[in-house]
Amino acid sequence: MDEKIISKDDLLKICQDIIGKGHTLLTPGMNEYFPVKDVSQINLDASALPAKTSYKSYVFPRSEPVLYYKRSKDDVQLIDINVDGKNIIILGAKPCDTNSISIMRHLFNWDYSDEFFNLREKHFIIIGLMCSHYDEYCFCTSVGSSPVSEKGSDIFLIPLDENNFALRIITEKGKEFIEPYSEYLKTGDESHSKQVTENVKLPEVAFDSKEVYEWLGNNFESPKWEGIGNLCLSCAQCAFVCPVCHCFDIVDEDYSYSEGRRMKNWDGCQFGNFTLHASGHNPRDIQSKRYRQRVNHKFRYYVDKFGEILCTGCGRCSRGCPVSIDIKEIVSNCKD
Amino acid sequence: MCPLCYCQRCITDKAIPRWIESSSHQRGNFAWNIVRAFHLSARCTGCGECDRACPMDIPLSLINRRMAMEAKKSFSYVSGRSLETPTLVGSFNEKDSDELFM
Repeated sequence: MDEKIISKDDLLKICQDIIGKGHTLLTPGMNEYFPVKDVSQINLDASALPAKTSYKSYVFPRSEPVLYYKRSKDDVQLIDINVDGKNIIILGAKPCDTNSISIMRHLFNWDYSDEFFNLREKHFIIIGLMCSHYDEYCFCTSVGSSPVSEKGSDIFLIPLDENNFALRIITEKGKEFIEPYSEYLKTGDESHSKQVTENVKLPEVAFDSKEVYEWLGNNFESPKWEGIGNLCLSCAQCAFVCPVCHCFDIVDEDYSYSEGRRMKNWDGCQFGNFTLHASGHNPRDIQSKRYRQRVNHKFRYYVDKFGEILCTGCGRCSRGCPVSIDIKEIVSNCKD
Repeated sequence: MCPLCYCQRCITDKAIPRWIESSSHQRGNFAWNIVRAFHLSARCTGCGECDRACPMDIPLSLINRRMAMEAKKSFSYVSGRSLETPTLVGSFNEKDSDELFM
């Protein structure tokens, strides 16, 4: 592993240069990852609460046109969209966010290669930051991650003291990115950053994901689902704040009789309409079936299909739930 | 969460015809909020649940408070004062003042 040391001032100089070049630099704020206009907005605080949403919408927008169409008397003309493949540098992403794209990548390249997702992802540089925050909702350690996990990061930062960071170069992409700035990097000492990472307070492991996987396979008809279903309002905020939920709906929006566009919009499996068939039949007609789908998809089906859990343990769904449904608690109870 | 949302099926769930676009662009969001604002105008009880429930902390009740102000200014109507007075939106009349519209 290639480890360097960089001062906060030098890091901000790099950020200034990035903004100056016209690239988008995103950093987490209270509510969301926002594009930095001035480096004074950057807060590299490892103990900050995760932003209410992840940067998912920058690789998979809430709503985007996938094509335009024009109708004439006996023809339909389709007009392609040029995807905006500009460089986006994400600074200070928490480990529960950094691996979100690598988890979603499987889905967007499974039966069909999603050019919108892939092009945007190719232009991402993810600079992760160790996390020293944890509250009752965090459970990254239960889904195979940790507050010091480098997974998904191109470059990983560890705060050594108030003014200095250890900078680990993880991927080739990260190496290429940092090379022009090598004058700011000092040779690092791994023992120093190790001391920091070893002293990070870890969220307790709430459940064994393998046991949950087994239980879900045997308890499709468990009465437990009914109890949760009665609580859930089916607002789907959990899906919208989730860094890895990726369901979308395709709808056509007509401007007039002769032209319109086809949109790809975020959708959520907690909505009744999500599985409503044209016939009127709905295989997930009640909320308990929808919640069961949510847990099964994250902790069983995705594992079956792609070998990864569809959850980063960030706890956003629980923090934002208007009726205080805590996914950590629910999954911890997925046992006999 | 809203104690005054009582529709059996929300208008956002009605797709044939599609009244409110599901895209979260300005038009879709505006359509939803204007429908909600009018349905709750001079009916909102001010419980604040919409504010509390919003995962992004949007102070949604401000819209309802503004509508209550308009109802008082334009129609001298304050909700909950009398059981006999017909509700504001329920007693719509073509001759009503339309000064509050932009």
